[in-house]
Amino acid sequence: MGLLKKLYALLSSYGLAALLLVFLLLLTWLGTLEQVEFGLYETQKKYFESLFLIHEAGPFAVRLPFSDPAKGPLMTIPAFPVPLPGVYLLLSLLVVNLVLGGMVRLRKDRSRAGILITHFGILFMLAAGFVEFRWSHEGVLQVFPQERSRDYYSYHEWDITVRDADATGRVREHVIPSEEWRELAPGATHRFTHDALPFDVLVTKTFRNCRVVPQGPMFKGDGAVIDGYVVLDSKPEMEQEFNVPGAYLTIAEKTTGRQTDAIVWGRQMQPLTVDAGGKRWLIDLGKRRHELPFDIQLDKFIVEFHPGTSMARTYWSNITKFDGGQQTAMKITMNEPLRHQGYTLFQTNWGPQDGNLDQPLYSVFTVVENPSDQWPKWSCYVIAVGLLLHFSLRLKKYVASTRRPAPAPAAPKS
Amino acid sequence: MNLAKPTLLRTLARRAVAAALGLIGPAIGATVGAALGIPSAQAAAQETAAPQGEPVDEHAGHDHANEPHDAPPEVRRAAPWDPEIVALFGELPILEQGRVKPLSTFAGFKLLQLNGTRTLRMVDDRGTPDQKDDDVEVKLSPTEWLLDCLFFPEASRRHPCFQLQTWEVLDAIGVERIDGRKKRDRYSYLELEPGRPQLFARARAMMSDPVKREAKNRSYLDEQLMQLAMKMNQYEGLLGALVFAQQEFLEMPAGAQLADLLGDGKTTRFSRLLEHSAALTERAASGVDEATRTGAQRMLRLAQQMADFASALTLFPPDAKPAPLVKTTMYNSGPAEKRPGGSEEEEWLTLGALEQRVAAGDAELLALHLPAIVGFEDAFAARNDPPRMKAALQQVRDTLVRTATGREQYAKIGSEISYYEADLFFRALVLYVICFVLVAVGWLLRADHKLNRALPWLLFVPLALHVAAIAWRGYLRARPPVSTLYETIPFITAAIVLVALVIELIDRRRIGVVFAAVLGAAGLFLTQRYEAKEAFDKGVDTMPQLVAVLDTNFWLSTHVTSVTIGYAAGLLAALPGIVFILGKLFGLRRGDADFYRALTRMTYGVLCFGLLFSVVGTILGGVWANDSWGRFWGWDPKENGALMICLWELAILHGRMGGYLRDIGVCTAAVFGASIVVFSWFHVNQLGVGLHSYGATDGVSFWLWTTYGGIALVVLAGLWLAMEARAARKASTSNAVGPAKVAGFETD
Repeated sequence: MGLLKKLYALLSSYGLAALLLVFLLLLTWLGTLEQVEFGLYETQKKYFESLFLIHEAGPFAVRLPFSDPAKGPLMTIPAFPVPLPGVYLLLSLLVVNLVLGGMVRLRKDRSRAGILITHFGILFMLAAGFVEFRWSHEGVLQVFPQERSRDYYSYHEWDITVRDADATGRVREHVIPSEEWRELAPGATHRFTHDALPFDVLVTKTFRNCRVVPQGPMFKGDGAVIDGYVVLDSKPEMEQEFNVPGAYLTIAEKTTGRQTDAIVWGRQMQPLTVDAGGKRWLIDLGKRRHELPFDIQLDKFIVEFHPGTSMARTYWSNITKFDGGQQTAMKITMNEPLRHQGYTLFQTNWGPQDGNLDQPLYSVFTVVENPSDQWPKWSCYVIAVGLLLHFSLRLKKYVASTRRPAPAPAAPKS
Repeated sequence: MNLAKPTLLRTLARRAVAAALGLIGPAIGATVGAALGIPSAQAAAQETAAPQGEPVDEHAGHDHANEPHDAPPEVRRAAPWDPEIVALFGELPILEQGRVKPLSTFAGFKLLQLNGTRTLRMVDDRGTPDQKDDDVEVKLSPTEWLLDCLFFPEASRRHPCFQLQTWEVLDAIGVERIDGRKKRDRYSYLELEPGRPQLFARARAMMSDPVKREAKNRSYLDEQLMQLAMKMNQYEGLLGALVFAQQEFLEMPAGAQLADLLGDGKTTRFSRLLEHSAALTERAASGVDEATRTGAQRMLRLAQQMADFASALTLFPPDAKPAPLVKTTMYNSGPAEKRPGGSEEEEWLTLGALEQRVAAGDAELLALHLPAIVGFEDAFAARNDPPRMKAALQQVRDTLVRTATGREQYAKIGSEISYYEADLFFRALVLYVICFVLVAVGWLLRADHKLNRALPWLLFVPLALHVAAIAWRGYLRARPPVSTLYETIPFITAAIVLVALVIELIDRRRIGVVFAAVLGAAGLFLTQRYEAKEAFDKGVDTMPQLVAVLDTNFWLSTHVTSVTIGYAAGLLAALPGIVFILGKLFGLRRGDADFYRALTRMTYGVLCFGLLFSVVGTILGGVWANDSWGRFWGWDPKENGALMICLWELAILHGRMGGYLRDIGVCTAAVFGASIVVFSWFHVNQLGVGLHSYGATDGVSFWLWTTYGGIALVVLAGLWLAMEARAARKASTSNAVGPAKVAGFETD
């Protein structure tokens, strides 16, 4: 058997399928437990979106059954690293296995039709997941009553932006995406330049989660003191959206060579101001802004509670959608999103949560642009049909086998 | 109107109020006691008042076990409750935990929360505690217990309705252990009351501790203490709920010209205060003289305090117009919009809230509910006179039911009362147990014996009751059969029994009937225990309102039902696996290859069935999440749990088709699969993370780990058997070639 044939046999085998499924199960289980300690975002990156990972197993406390917890364990096995394939790699291999073994190699007859359909449905679903993983993005749109907006902001991504302070109307923003500066090695510097700007921006130090505080005896900062302020590095939050990043910048003017150090922080009230090239510029660190191709105006937001409780029974937003010259009144509520031009708006929240009847409430929508939005639903139909067909045939065969008369006992040997 | 009563009755009523006020709180008790001229209440309250600046520890240190010489004598119920009174009272509607329910349901879950069961067993000493020979054992239903709490608050403090999980709780609050009691036993309020100040001090300390504020960070004992504090607090609320109805204790202020409003007697009653609260308000502001103004102010204050004591029961609908079963609507722009039945008007009222509205001039509300309030007063006065009490309660019932019916909120109350009275789950449980006994007898008989032929059909009887109970709940809640974790248990059990019976009807080996009877009984036993546990730990009934994302009958009936059937199949598939492994281990039907092959086929068939529902249900869950949260898959623990079931079942099927799993392998894998189902069903909710963490249940970790331990033992046995079988095969067919042939299924 040639090497290619061996490879084909391996990649299309039941054994590989079973192995991949077991590993996927293991990774899913570990990733579920890991969320308790590290939060969803970190766990998702480590276990579900990776090719390989190192899982820290343990430490394990060994106890006798029904022993008194106060007495402590018999022994403790220290933590040890376990290298594992990531879910991304496993799913990639599963696709190959599914195509080769579950479609190409599979015997094509009536009894296997259901399996073939099911495998096709699963492939379709995995394709939906891949498209969503690679090409979708989501954010949050928060809007007060009678307010009109088309901007929505990423949950996790932060950008450094530079814009002309005196510009009016639609303003041109120069964006330094977080992907280009957030993983800065210690001591390294990233320089960002643009012809339209009279200065370069050098990112010299970054923080995933931090606070900016006045320098004083109470705090020992994690960087230089600038204008009396210093950055305090903080432990990352379990929920990624609660992290507030920060960075040390150096603004290097192109003509004069003058360099100015500065701090930008995700929660700063006002942008950093820089005078250069005869103009005033604003530098800001904020959540990545996306734009809808249409406007949304919140006409009314309503929340209803179960009587005598603080548990919301339902909440919804009456909105007007402005698209070109057209205005359409619509309602967005839980489980009934608005889908338009490839975007989907979900009613996810409202605020302030402790507001009373006198306070205006704002409505919060999750905005998702996902080219494969409805693919999983279709794949579900396909898979259901395939499984139903296959298992019906199996059941028929099983019932028939139970009706078969038992074979006559063999004649005794003489 | 002269409301004067015989002196003795008036004295008793005043003393009863003194006792009740002592229960409710020193601060309030002192105020009201002083106003009422009740020295015992005033003195007791002042003696025990909390220091300035400390959180008020209501009636701390008030030792009812050693009551002062002027403490009121207990008024005891002279005879068992008249069943008609119990029925009338149980039919009253009440708003609790977001829904309108019968008072009998409220009482049932309240007693379950305190007592751990719906029946209160106690010794009635017939009024002579020092004589034991006249003691009788009595059982009180929840509604009878609630009637005692409300109408005989003094005597009901002797009811042993507080179940303590350990007597360490007594040690911790400085109450001496009582001889003859078990470690886990029931105590009366009076027995626990000496430890009340210490109990509440510890509870307050926990609530102000940033770590212990969260229940998960508390030790077992701390959690028990916190629960007891909350339960005693709620119980005290019930004891004070009818303080307002203990009439003829409100002494008229001297010199005030209020006789035209409150009568010319020396005392008046709450309903008259309420009826004339608008006029009293006017006189309090601009009475003809100072005595009238201060007198009116005092009476208004008393009315408000009386009403506030009754906050444990939300009995009064705000109007009689049709209203949706929702209330408080927060509008964030423009004036509050009036919807059919009102908007912010939809909230039901406690007596305190009602009094405030009436005092503010809501004459319509007063006219609506005054007959009920008078009815409560009359019923209290006639609490040992069943015919009169019945007539008074009838007036209460008529008033409240008419209002609730007008709001279209009473339609299912009767059905709910019948549901709990019928107790179909319990009846089905008993029948499953009887069927199990018959199945056991059937195994001793010939396979074609009449009993064995009838057994599958007999099992459809408890199943029919079981399914009827599920459907009945669905009707009451206007929801699909599964919308809470509790409801998954009877539903999964019913699905298991049905599938097992279908297997039996196809296979006819008397294996399916065993599974049906055993799992039916076990599942419904778990249902009962879970209900009691939820009520005991959280004080919730099993028909809670749902969070906004679950407000969709379409997804509840498709995704939730499918996934739940998948769980059922995953668990059922394990059972033939367990029988296979244990049978092989202990030599059951040795040499009967057909029997073991049938078990494997059952396992395989149920796995296929389960896979269909698990896969479809899991994907439908993703589609639902895509519509509600904006993403198809979020690696949420509950989603992951469902995915793990699919992955494991797919792995088993592929392992089988590839010839890697033989009969013992499939069975062992199916048994292991049960632990994945348990993880997905219950365990992920305990992790406290993710979007499904609202379904967490306290205190199930022990049972989860015990289940895992049991499964692990069977799996280990299965693996050992598999290795033994492999070694035997190797030894006997060392030079065999060709693909593996596994029982019943061809390999690819």
